[in-house]
Amino acid sequence: MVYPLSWLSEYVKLPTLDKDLTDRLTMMGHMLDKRIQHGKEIIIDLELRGNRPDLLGITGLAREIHAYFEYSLKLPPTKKLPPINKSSNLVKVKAPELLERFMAFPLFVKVKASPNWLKKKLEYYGIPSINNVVDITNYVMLETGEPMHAFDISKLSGKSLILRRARNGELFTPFHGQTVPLTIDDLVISDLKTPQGLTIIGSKHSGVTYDTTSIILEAAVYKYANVRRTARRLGIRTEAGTRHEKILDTNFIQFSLERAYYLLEELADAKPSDGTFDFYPNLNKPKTIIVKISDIERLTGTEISITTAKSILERLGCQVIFKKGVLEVETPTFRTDLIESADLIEEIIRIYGYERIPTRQLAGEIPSIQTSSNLLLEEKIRDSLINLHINEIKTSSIIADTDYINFAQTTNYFPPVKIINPPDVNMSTLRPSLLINLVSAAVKALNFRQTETRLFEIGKIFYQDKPDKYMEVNKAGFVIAKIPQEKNDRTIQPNIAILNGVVSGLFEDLGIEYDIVSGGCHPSLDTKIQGEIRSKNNQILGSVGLLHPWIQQIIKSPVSIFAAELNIEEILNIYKSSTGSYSIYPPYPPIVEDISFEINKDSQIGIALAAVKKSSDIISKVEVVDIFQNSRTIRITYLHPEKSLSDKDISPIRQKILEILKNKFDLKPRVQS
Amino acid sequence: MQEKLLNIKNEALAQIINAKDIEELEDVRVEYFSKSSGKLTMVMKKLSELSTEEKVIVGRFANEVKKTLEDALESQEQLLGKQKLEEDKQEIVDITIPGKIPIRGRLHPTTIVFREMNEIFKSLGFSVAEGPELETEEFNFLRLNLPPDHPARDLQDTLYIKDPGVLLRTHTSSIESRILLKYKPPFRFVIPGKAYRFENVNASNNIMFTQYEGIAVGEGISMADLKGTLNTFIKMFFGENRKTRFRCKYYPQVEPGVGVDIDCPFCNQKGCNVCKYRGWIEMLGAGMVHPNMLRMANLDPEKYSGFAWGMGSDRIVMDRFKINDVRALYGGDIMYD
Repeated sequence: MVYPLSWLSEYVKLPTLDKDLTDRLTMMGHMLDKRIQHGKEIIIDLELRGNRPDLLGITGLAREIHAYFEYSLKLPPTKKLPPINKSSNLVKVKAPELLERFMAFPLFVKVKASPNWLKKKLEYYGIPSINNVVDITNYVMLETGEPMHAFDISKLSGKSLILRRARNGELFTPFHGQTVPLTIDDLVISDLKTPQGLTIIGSKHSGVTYDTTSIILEAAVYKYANVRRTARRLGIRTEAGTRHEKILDTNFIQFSLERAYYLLEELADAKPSDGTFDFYPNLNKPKTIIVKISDIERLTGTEISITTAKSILERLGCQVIFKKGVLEVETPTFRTDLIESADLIEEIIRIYGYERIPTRQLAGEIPSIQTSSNLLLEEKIRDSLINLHINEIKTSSIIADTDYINFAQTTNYFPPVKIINPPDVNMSTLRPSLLINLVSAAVKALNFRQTETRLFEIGKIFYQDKPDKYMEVNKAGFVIAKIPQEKNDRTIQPNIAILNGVVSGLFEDLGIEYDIVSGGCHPSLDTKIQGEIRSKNNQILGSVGLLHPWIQQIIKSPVSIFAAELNIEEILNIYKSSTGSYSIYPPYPPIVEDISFEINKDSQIGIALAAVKKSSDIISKVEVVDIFQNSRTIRITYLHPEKSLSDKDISPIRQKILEILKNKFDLKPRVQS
Repeated sequence: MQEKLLNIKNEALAQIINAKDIEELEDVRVEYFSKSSGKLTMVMKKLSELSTEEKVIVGRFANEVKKTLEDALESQEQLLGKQKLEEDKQEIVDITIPGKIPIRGRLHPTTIVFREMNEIFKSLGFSVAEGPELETEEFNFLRLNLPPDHPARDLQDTLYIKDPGVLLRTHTSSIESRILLKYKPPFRFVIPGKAYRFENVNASNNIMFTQYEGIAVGEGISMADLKGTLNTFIKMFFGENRKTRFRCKYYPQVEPGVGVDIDCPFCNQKGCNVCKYRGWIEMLGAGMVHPNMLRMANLDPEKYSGFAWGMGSDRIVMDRFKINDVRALYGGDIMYD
């Protein structure tokens, strides 16, 4: 809200330098947003805290300045309202559940142009001058923070007001803007026939004009949530509406009406024509809050004397009694934000000055470290994949609906979790797999002329296990894709070996033994070219394979994409801590032999090699060294820790290996070397 | 015999000097010094056939020849050795040639920032927490002192899975609600994570964003501790010379509430576009955990107190790594190699 300093200074003295004022206001909770200067005129625009509606009137800010600087507060003159007329017919309340208080009284007035000082003040806020009566209602709102309205009685059918819910579809024309349809959720201030005002704005019809001779002046506090709903639905923003959406003080509207009455008498010759109508079912009494003196230091860490604390609260409008280690504080009703002790402690310390709070390091017992083992495992996986030269991406859990459809080619995906109010209706699905965004990013990289892309992500996936049972699961996924050296090279096997190399490196870092078994049902991987990563006790730790060719085609990937997705929770069940092993150079030389053989479409070479390795203690390594069409060459390294091996030692083992390959795995060796 | 020795010496010296490489030199050595057939060796064997007087004279001469040839062999060997080194150096080698960085993997920028922040707070005794992205009204709002119809809830435009009931968390503070319920004080946690809001997407606003929050609850924790901890963090993360400002600010989750600003590095606090001419940049929202939140977790606010803070981490990541569009940060647009 903007505050012209010249207007503000009518209620409280200001420091000579406006910077001293705004620096202090910023520290107190009202941050300077802009400083505008026109000649000698300075206007400050402050960002107000959401729970301080009392500052939406200039006198409210004056009180804040008085609280810190201690210059006297000069509230503007007021005139007592006509006595309450309990049998007044001026207003009928038909929707009491939407109101906190409604005060109104009728006046004879002489409507003319406003004096220049009044017009000028409205100008600061871009409010056009209409006539003295309308201008006074706006002026008092700016001065005190309380919106109010004047109706021309002669234009009201029945010369009275009815506060009721609108009928569904009932039309209302605000004094500026288009006619809008209302609903029964909207409160209207109506005459006998039609709505004459909403909580947030008056109507064209019954406003005060130069031929008005008598008015009803009213001020009210409505249920703020209801006002907010109406304002949002109709898309109408007004100064009055902004205030009514906050928690206003029912007590305080009396002061505002008294102020308006004073000005109306001065500028419009106003004379009451009847008593005051006051609908006020729940009298708002000031509350008393107890603040323990010890709590002030306990929470602020600052030593503040009882006298200082008491004096600060009094300058803010409280009545304070100190007794027996507590302050009994009666808070002013216009501070609707003060509810309990912590609120008052904030008042004390913010006026005292946050800059006076000392700085202290957190002392006391350092709590035991409780970082979840899941997070620790994720960091390990992250580091391992980085070391294996895979780059990390982070993406949104929300994906485009078309992406979901492209990836859920098979029916194997569980029903997805969907957002019912997405900002973009085409992006309403939560990802059921990390591969969706990974593949998308990979294709993007390739289209941006990268020759190779290796990406991973660690994050959550979502699905519905049963209707309305929403699952959120931690996964790690990675993809590898490269443009082949030779343009038409479409071989898959070498890339599978690369993919499995990464898996191997990762699990070695995690100290977990595993097998890859052909088969599995990851919905986004090729049904024939995918495998399950299984732990030694048969837990499924993840899937590896080729991205399903249908998906590759639909997303227009220029090359095959190889992917893996791992189940972090299952890995966590097995993971103890990274072991990894190191060995020293062997003292005796190894013997290395290669065996080549043809594979057939049922070969599972990984399993065969695992069996070969297990067949003898002196086999230290078995690896695939060549992949050429359907021929595979494996290299077997024999090593003995205590002696140099000879062909005599190797020969029987070699025989055994050939037998295992032939008989158990149907792999006939072609060449021996 | 002396004549023979002289001939051998001259012949051998000539060959030694003309030897072009170490192998040739070795051949010369073998030719003259070989135990079985070396020319010099053969002649010296014949010394025994001479008379005693002749033996002395010829023997001395023979030894001189032997030494001369041995010295010549050695110095020629050294010369040839150095020449070889020089020859090897004929290849042109330029030390300033730019290298090609070997292939490596790189962390996502947000991970780097989170890890740095985590390290700072771990050294202050904090643990790292996480929690679900799919949340309930209870943990995302109610337990954070945001009852239905609270005016502050308007600012949280929520993405719903089921209305009411299940939503995507609008802030990582939902994890604070869970921490309060799960752990007994004293505890200290930081919470890096994703959050979601209904936003019109543009270069600086995305539906998904990340935040970095923290909470410390115990007995006797005050605003002085809040100041100390956050000051330490800012100096360690942004630089030793950074200035901070702690001012009063409102958030429903804290009371007293604090806004923490740091000095604008772009204009040295003189005022510029980046800091909206204020000289300070808003960095963190913080404050003392609201007593309502403690009560809802069955913690007595007369006994326990704590502070909490939160910041948007995306802006920090983007500033640090000079990425201008938040959609690129989480859209897989970062080029790594």
